Amino acid sequence: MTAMTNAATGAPGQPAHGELGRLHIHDRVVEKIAGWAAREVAEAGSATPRLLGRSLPVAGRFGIRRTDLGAAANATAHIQGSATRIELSISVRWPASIPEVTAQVRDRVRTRVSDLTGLRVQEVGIIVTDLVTNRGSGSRVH
Amino acid sequence: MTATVGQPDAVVDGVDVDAVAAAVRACPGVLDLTAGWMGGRATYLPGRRIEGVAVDADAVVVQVRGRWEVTARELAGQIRAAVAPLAAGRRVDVVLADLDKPLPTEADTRPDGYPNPPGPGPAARPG
Repeated sequence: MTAMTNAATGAPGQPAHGELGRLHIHDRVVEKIAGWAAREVAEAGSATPRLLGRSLPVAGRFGIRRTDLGAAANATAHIQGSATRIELSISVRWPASIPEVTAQVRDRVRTRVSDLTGLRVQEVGIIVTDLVTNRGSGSRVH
Repeated sequence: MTATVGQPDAVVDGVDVDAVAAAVRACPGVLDLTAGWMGGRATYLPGRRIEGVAVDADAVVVQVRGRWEVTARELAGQIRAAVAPLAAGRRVDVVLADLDKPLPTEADTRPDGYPNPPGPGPAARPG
Protein backbone atom coordinates (compact mmCIF):
# COMPACT_ATOMS: atom_id res chain seq x y z
CA MET A 1 0.00 0.00 0.00
CA THR A 2 2.98 2.26 0.37
CA ALA A 3 5.44 3.55 -2.19
CA MET A 4 3.00 3.60 -5.05
CA THR A 5 4.14 6.88 -6.50
CA ASN A 6 5.33 5.33 -9.72
CA ALA A 7 2.58 2.80 -10.17
CA ALA A 8 -0.22 2.81 -12.65
CA THR A 9 -0.56 6.48 -13.37
CA GLY A 10 -0.55 5.63 -17.04
CA ALA A 11 0.12 8.58 -19.29
CA PRO A 12 3.63 8.71 -20.66
CA GLY A 13 5.26 12.08 -20.38
CA GLN A 14 3.33 12.87 -17.26
CA PRO A 15 4.53 16.19 -15.85
CA ALA A 16 6.59 16.27 -12.71
CA HIS A 17 4.71 16.83 -9.47
CA GLY A 18 4.66 20.31 -8.12
CA GLU A 19 5.62 22.03 -11.34
CA LEU A 20 2.27 22.23 -13.04
CA GLY A 21 0.04 22.68 -10.07
CA ARG A 22 -0.40 22.62 -6.37
CA LEU A 23 -1.72 19.95 -4.08
CA HIS A 24 -3.80 20.98 -1.11
CA ILE A 25 -4.80 18.47 1.52
CA HIS A 26 -7.58 19.35 3.91
CA ASP A 27 -7.22 18.83 7.63
CA ARG A 28 -10.18 16.52 7.50
CA VAL A 29 -8.34 14.07 5.27
CA VAL A 30 -5.47 13.84 7.74
CA GLU A 31 -7.96 13.46 10.58
CA LYS A 32 -9.65 10.53 8.86
CA ILE A 33 -6.36 8.82 8.08
CA ALA A 34 -5.19 9.25 11.67
CA GLY A 35 -8.47 7.94 13.08
CA TRP A 36 -8.45 4.87 10.90
CA ALA A 37 -4.76 4.28 11.47
CA ALA A 38 -5.38 4.22 15.21
CA ARG A 39 -8.15 1.69 14.65
CA GLU A 40 -5.68 -0.60 12.93
CA VAL A 41 -4.01 -1.13 16.27
CA ALA A 42 -6.12 -3.89 17.76
CA GLU A 43 -5.91 -2.61 21.31
CA ALA A 44 -6.92 0.95 20.49
CA GLY A 45 -10.23 2.33 19.35
CA SER A 46 -12.59 5.24 19.52
CA ALA A 47 -13.58 6.86 22.77
CA THR A 48 -16.65 8.78 23.75
CA PRO A 49 -16.00 12.49 23.68
CA ARG A 50 -15.25 13.96 27.07
CA LEU A 51 -16.78 17.18 28.23
CA LEU A 52 -13.46 18.57 29.36
CA GLY A 53 -11.31 16.77 26.79
CA ARG A 54 -9.28 18.88 24.47
CA SER A 55 -10.76 17.17 21.42
CA LEU A 56 -14.26 18.40 22.17
CA PRO A 57 -14.36 21.30 19.68
CA VAL A 58 -14.38 18.93 16.71
CA ALA A 59 -16.44 16.16 18.24
CA GLY A 60 -19.64 17.48 16.71
CA ARG A 61 -18.28 17.10 13.23
CA PHE A 62 -17.94 13.38 13.74
CA GLY A 63 -21.13 12.80 15.62
CA ILE A 64 -21.27 11.34 19.07
CA ARG A 65 -18.91 8.43 19.40
CA ARG A 66 -19.16 5.39 21.53
CA THR A 67 -16.17 3.78 23.10
CA ASP A 68 -15.47 0.99 20.65
CA LEU A 69 -12.27 -0.84 19.74
CA GLY A 70 -13.63 -1.43 16.25
CA ALA A 71 -14.35 2.20 15.42
CA ALA A 72 -12.07 4.92 14.13
CA ALA A 73 -10.69 7.23 16.77
CA ASN A 74 -11.44 10.90 16.99
CA ALA A 75 -8.63 13.01 15.59
CA THR A 76 -7.83 16.67 15.10
CA ALA A 77 -5.18 17.71 12.61
CA HIS A 78 -3.52 21.03 11.93
CA ILE A 79 -1.62 21.34 8.69
CA GLN A 80 1.02 24.01 8.40
CA GLY A 81 2.93 23.99 5.15
CA SER A 82 4.23 20.50 4.58
CA ALA A 83 3.94 19.45 8.20
CA THR A 84 1.07 18.43 10.39
CA ARG A 85 0.28 18.11 14.05
CA ILE A 86 -2.30 15.52 15.09
CA GLU A 87 -4.23 15.00 18.27
CA LEU A 88 -6.02 11.74 18.91
CA SER A 89 -8.53 10.72 21.49
CA ILE A 90 -8.58 6.96 21.94
CA SER A 91 -9.74 4.15 24.14
CA VAL A 92 -7.43 1.32 25.14
CA ARG A 93 -8.32 -2.31 25.79
CA TRP A 94 -8.07 -3.28 29.42
CA PRO A 95 -5.55 -4.41 30.66
CA ALA A 96 -3.17 -3.57 27.84
CA SER A 97 -0.17 -1.41 28.58
CA ILE A 98 -1.10 2.15 27.76
CA PRO A 99 2.47 3.23 26.95
CA GLU A 100 2.82 0.30 24.53
CA VAL A 101 -0.52 0.90 22.85
CA THR A 102 0.03 4.62 22.47
CA ALA A 103 3.50 3.98 21.08
CA GLN A 104 1.98 1.60 18.52
CA VAL A 105 -0.75 4.06 17.65
CA ARG A 106 1.71 6.90 17.29
CA ASP A 107 3.91 4.82 15.03
CA ARG A 108 1.00 3.65 12.90
CA VAL A 109 -0.47 7.13 12.57
CA ARG A 110 2.87 8.61 11.56
CA THR A 111 3.42 5.90 8.97
CA ARG A 112 -0.04 6.10 7.49
CA VAL A 113 -0.26 9.87 7.34
CA SER A 114 3.19 10.36 5.87
CA ASP A 115 2.72 7.52 3.37
CA LEU A 116 -0.69 8.58 2.17
CA THR A 117 -0.35 12.36 2.23
CA GLY A 118 3.38 13.01 1.98
CA LEU A 119 3.08 15.40 4.92
CA ARG A 120 5.70 15.39 7.66
CA VAL A 121 4.14 14.43 10.95
CA GLN A 122 5.57 16.76 13.55
CA GLU A 123 3.70 15.54 16.54
CA VAL A 124 1.08 12.98 17.47
CA GLY A 125 -0.60 13.86 20.72
CA ILE A 126 -2.67 11.06 22.23
CA ILE A 127 -5.25 11.37 24.95
CA VAL A 128 -6.51 8.11 26.40
CA THR A 129 -10.00 8.87 27.55
CA ASP A 130 -11.42 5.42 28.18
CA LEU A 131 -10.65 1.77 28.82
CA VAL A 132 -12.51 -1.11 27.20
CA THR A 133 -13.02 -4.59 28.54
CA ASN A 134 -13.29 -7.03 25.67
CA ARG A 135 -15.68 -9.41 27.39
CA GLY A 136 -19.30 -8.89 28.19
CA SER A 137 -20.43 -8.48 31.76
CA GLY A 138 -21.18 -12.22 32.00
CA SER A 139 -17.54 -13.24 32.19
CA ARG A 140 -16.63 -10.83 34.92
CA VAL A 141 -14.97 -12.47 37.90
CA HIS A 142 -14.51 -10.68 41.16
CA MET B 1 -15.72 33.23 -15.89
CA THR B 2 -18.85 33.37 -17.97
CA ALA B 3 -19.91 31.02 -20.70
CA THR B 4 -19.26 32.49 -24.10
CA VAL B 5 -22.15 32.85 -26.51
CA GLY B 6 -21.95 30.45 -29.41
CA GLN B 7 -19.90 27.88 -27.52
CA PRO B 8 -21.10 24.93 -25.54
CA ASP B 9 -22.41 25.91 -22.14
CA ALA B 10 -19.64 24.37 -20.11
CA VAL B 11 -16.69 26.17 -21.69
CA VAL B 12 -15.21 28.70 -19.30
CA ASP B 13 -12.27 30.77 -20.56
CA GLY B 14 -11.32 28.06 -23.02
CA VAL B 15 -11.65 25.20 -20.56
CA ASP B 16 -14.44 22.69 -21.09
CA VAL B 17 -15.51 22.17 -17.50
CA ASP B 18 -17.67 19.15 -18.32
CA ALA B 19 -14.73 17.47 -19.99
CA VAL B 20 -12.51 18.27 -17.00
CA ALA B 21 -15.09 16.82 -14.62
CA ALA B 22 -15.40 13.65 -16.72
CA ALA B 23 -11.62 13.28 -16.95
CA VAL B 24 -11.24 13.66 -13.19
CA ARG B 25 -14.00 11.16 -12.44
CA ALA B 26 -12.29 8.67 -14.73
CA CYS B 27 -9.13 8.72 -12.61
CA PRO B 28 -8.83 5.46 -10.66
CA GLY B 29 -7.89 7.22 -7.43
CA VAL B 30 -10.86 9.56 -7.50
CA LEU B 31 -14.14 8.66 -5.89
CA ASP B 32 -15.96 11.79 -6.97
CA LEU B 33 -15.71 15.53 -7.28
CA THR B 34 -16.89 17.48 -4.29
CA ALA B 35 -17.60 21.08 -3.49
CA GLY B 36 -16.45 20.36 0.03
CA TRP B 37 -17.39 22.50 2.96
CA MET B 38 -17.01 26.21 3.30
CA GLY B 39 -14.83 27.68 0.61
CA GLY B 40 -15.45 24.73 -1.68
CA ARG B 41 -15.07 25.27 -5.37
CA ALA B 42 -17.69 24.95 -8.08
CA THR B 43 -18.39 26.31 -11.54
CA TYR B 44 -21.69 28.09 -11.95
CA LEU B 45 -23.28 27.74 -15.35
CA PRO B 46 -26.67 28.80 -16.67
CA GLY B 47 -29.12 26.53 -14.90
CA ARG B 48 -26.61 24.23 -13.29
CA ARG B 49 -23.50 23.96 -11.20
CA ILE B 50 -20.49 21.70 -11.56
CA GLU B 51 -19.12 21.01 -8.11
CA GLY B 52 -15.44 20.55 -7.48
CA VAL B 53 -14.13 22.21 -10.63
CA ALA B 54 -13.25 25.89 -10.88
CA VAL B 55 -11.37 27.80 -13.55
CA ASP B 56 -9.20 30.57 -12.12
CA ALA B 57 -7.09 33.08 -14.02
CA ASP B 58 -3.99 30.93 -13.89
CA ALA B 59 -5.19 27.55 -12.68
CA VAL B 60 -7.84 24.91 -13.01
CA VAL B 61 -8.78 23.88 -9.49
CA VAL B 62 -10.10 20.37 -8.99
CA GLN B 63 -11.50 19.33 -5.61
CA VAL B 64 -12.01 15.63 -5.02
CA ARG B 65 -12.79 12.83 -2.63
CA GLY B 66 -9.96 10.33 -2.92
CA ARG B 67 -9.79 6.62 -2.32
CA TRP B 68 -8.18 5.43 0.88
CA GLU B 69 -5.38 3.36 -0.61
CA VAL B 70 -4.16 5.99 -3.08
CA THR B 71 -1.46 8.38 -1.95
CA ALA B 72 -2.11 12.08 -2.36
CA ARG B 73 0.88 12.41 -4.63
CA GLU B 74 -0.29 9.61 -6.88
CA LEU B 75 -3.79 11.04 -6.96
CA ALA B 76 -2.47 14.45 -7.96
CA GLY B 77 -0.38 12.82 -10.67
CA GLN B 78 -3.39 11.01 -12.10
CA ILE B 79 -5.52 14.12 -12.09
CA ARG B 80 -2.84 16.33 -13.60
CA ALA B 81 -2.14 13.85 -16.35
CA ALA B 82 -5.85 13.69 -17.16
CA VAL B 83 -6.66 17.39 -16.88
CA ALA B 84 -3.51 19.05 -18.22
CA PRO B 85 -4.48 18.55 -21.91
CA LEU B 86 -7.82 20.22 -21.19
CA ALA B 87 -6.53 23.08 -19.06
CA ALA B 88 -5.63 25.48 -21.87
CA GLY B 89 -2.14 26.04 -20.52
CA ARG B 90 -3.21 26.65 -16.94
CA ARG B 91 -1.79 25.07 -13.84
CA VAL B 92 -3.81 22.17 -12.43
CA ASP B 93 -4.32 22.56 -8.69
CA VAL B 94 -5.62 19.53 -6.84
CA VAL B 95 -7.49 19.80 -3.57
CA LEU B 96 -7.88 16.57 -1.63
CA ALA B 97 -10.93 17.50 0.36
CA ASP B 98 -12.16 14.19 1.66
CA LEU B 99 -11.33 10.53 1.74
CA ASP B 100 -13.21 7.30 1.25
CA LYS B 101 -13.37 4.74 4.01
CA PRO B 102 -10.67 2.10 3.99
CA LEU B 103 -11.61 -1.26 2.56
CA PRO B 104 -12.91 -3.63 5.22
CA THR B 105 -9.92 -5.93 5.24
CA GLU B 106 -7.41 -6.74 7.95
CA ALA B 107 -8.84 -4.50 10.60
CA ASP B 108 -12.30 -6.06 10.29
CA THR B 109 -11.22 -9.66 10.08
CA ARG B 110 -9.13 -9.61 13.22
CA PRO B 111 -10.80 -10.98 16.31
CA ASP B 112 -12.16 -7.85 17.82
CA GLY B 113 -10.70 -6.75 21.08
CA TYR B 114 -7.79 -9.15 21.03
CA PRO B 115 -4.28 -7.83 21.28
CA ASN B 116 -1.88 -7.69 18.38
CA PRO B 117 0.16 -10.87 18.00
CA PRO B 118 3.47 -10.72 19.80
CA GLY B 119 6.59 -10.17 17.77
CA PRO B 120 7.17 -7.49 15.18
CA GLY B 121 5.27 -4.31 15.78
CA PRO B 122 3.15 -2.36 13.32
CA ALA B 123 6.23 -1.21 11.43
CA ALA B 124 6.71 -4.73 10.11
CA ARG B 125 3.21 -4.95 8.65
CA PRO B 126 2.98 -4.50 4.91
CA GLY B 127 0.33 -1.81 5.00
